[in-house]
Amino acid sequence: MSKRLGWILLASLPLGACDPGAQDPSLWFEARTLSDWEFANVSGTAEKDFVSDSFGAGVALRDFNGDGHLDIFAIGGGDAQGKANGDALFFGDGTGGFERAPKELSLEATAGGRAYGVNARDFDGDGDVDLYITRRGPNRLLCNRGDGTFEDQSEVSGLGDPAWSTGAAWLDFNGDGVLDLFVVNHIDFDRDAVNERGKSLYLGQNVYYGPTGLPAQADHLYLGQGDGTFELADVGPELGSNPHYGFGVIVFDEDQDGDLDLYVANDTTPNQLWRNDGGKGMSDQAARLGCALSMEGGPQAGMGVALGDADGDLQPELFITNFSNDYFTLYRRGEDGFWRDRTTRSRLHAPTWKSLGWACGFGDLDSDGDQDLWAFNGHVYPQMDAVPNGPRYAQVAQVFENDGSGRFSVPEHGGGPGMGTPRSGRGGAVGDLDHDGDLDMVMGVLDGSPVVLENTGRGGNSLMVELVGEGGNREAIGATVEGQVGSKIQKRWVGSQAGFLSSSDPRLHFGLGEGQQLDQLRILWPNGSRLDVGPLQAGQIHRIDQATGQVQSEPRDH
Amino acid sequence: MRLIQPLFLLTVLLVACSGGSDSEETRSPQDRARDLIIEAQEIATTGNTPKAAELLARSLALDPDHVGAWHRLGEMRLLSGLDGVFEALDRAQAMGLDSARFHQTRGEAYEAEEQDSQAKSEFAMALEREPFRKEAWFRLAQVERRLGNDFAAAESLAEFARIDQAERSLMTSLQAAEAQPEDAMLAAATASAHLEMGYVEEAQEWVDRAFALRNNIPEAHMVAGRIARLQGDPDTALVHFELVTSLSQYDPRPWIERSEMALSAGDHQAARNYAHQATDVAGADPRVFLAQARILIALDALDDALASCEAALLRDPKREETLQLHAHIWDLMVKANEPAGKDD
Repeated sequence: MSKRLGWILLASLPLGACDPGAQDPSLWFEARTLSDWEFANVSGTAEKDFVSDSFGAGVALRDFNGDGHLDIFAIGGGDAQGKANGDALFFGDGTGGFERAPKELSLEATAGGRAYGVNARDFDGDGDVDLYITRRGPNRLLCNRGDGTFEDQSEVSGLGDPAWSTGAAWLDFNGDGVLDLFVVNHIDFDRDAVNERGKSLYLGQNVYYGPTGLPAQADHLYLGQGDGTFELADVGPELGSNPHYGFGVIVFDEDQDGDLDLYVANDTTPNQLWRNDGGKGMSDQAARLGCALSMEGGPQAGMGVALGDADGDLQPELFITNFSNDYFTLYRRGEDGFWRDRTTRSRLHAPTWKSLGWACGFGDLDSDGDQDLWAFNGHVYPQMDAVPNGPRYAQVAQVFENDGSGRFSVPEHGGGPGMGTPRSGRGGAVGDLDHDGDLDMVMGVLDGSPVVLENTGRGGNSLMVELVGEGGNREAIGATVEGQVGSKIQKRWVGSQAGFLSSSDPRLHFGLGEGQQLDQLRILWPNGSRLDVGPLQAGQIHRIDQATGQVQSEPRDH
Repeated sequence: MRLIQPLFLLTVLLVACSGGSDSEETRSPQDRARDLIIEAQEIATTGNTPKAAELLARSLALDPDHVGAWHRLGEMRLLSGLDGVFEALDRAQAMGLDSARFHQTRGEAYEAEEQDSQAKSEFAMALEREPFRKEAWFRLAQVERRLGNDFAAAESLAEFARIDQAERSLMTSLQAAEAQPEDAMLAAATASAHLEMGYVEEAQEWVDRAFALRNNIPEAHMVAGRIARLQGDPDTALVHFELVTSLSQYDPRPWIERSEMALSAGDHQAARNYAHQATDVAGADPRVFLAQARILIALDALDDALASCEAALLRDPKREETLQLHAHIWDLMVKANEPAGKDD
């Protein structure tokens, strides 16, 4: 029996409830929480006595058992005594229903660490989705046996990074056809030492100490050896020096020189743009190019980061979530190679000022042919609820509707009741859970069960593109894709991890509005080869194989 | 009863509204405009800049001669991504507004339009009026870099970093000095922190306090000498700098100050000698070599300036400011060696 009944409808305002005669809104999300499966994220004490209690709850949205439906993997976290809480896997039935996988599927917590984030990718190119789990304590690499059960390869692989890790991104850094792994690290955390420091004061409340004042840990790059093992890379002195409190990470070829670069969002320290020097070294160019600091010149509290083309000019934009009483930042890369803070121009300054954001992303949520934005929010200090007119601990999620020119607005009713319920949102992932052609979302909730946000808005037509890369990079990480409808071109970057400590379905969603097809799709594969295909029909999933150049199309609800 | 309740409520509302209207009518448009401005300022602090812009526009409909409101409207529209930014700023300018903050806003507006040359000009004007405006230095650095002026960008960024650091030092020293008011060293440090931020009067007050507690604090004499220089009193400045040297012989700063004073006075040999004295007493500090290099550039001694810069780089190879100055000296040397153009 499907456990779909186990979904609890958190809020169920009917569409158009405010005006029965009105057309359905284009951006509307209904929420259901997966609370029936004896699983909830746990994150330290209720009062959040330590910085280590304030975040986590990464989620992944992938098809782990190969049945064609998206499944959910959720991070368990750990309690105040440092005991890890087991993670959970929920198998999807393709209609939006989920059933928790049996506990014997190797997803119990392992000793020695508490999990925070997840990267779900086919790192070994064998056709199934593996898991890399970042923890405070040695990280875990779980290899999928092909059926949604996993084998722990952490020690054998050499990827059990012992630091407090947060973000992680697979990429072929040195162009050898084997995926490498960039691990983002956070604080060199000593609970006893932090205890001695006592509390900090924020808006008149005693809150946990950190991260400012605590030692940061350097990020690490591991190079794949091609045999399932990895070695810590020496990419020059810069990566190890002057470490920051890292969180979100994305990979893309920023300078379009044929290798993959990295952008890392850092908490209370400058963000970093690691330019790859042909696989031999890397240097941080964020300060020089204008994407390290706020428009006033100060570091922000970078949490999540997303990449997309907000204004349709085929140049990338970066969207970064930050602390409350600050704005979420939108940087636009100019053709001169410099990044400009375009937050005010994009009308994102005011609507993000009060939010403390984590997971975020670009996505054509109403399938009208442009990239909207979303962010999951929640304050780090529960004590904020005692501050008159202060920020609230639980906060609403946000969607920002693109008008097609890169200017955003909050949609009517905030995008529906699913978005408008205050929660401790942290992780977040996007994909089409119910094969209806629009993008749904899953929120990882701190100290709570994951929440499914079903897209029930009046969207346009759409299609999905799945890239199958050659060799070890089977998911074509680093490819760029341009889809053309008439004279309009939509660009996508195939990344590895986006948002905050989470993994979305990497299949590319193209909104077509009233259109029935994508006239042409131009693919620049990670190895520099090109492929043009098309037209591609709406309502289908198009699987494109780099090796053969073949396109296999099937209905999305197949 | 069902009918009476709504009627009663309606009556109360009508009375309240009519009372409010009377009250509004008796107040001048300027008063009502001022209230809207205050409300807009309060709302702006919550981040709701579009609402603040709306209130300011209403305020200006009542009192179109309020120059500050036009400026603020431009700011709010800029932050909100709304149209009409230059329209508002132009009105403020036409009414004579010429403050540092106003030029900063105009610079930011030009930046938003990706007009970097105009933005640079506005940030420069802001800094002419308020040299310690750190946001303008940061913005100017970004603009200079995009315009390809790497040296100017590095110089602006260094100034931004210096002011940023000075701000933090000021807060720390103020807290410490207020906690321990009998500590002359803390009073002198607070005087120095004020001076670094351009607060000359406050610096003088704190240096007087330091001298009242003790008169042999090198930092207090350093600040007093710099204030005297700023006030055009080189003799007094010299007395204080000599006292610093006698109290703290390894402090290079009085030598750099004296070198700059000699340079201003046209005594190039003395300028050069004092600059060398500075590096003699603090040979490990790259910043002293950097300061020496700047003085040598002003003396047109480019070879020596390059050598000083390289000495700074040996001590701190990654300092961006030094790297850019090094490149700048090379550029100057190349230009100096270019053949002169024909007069015709």
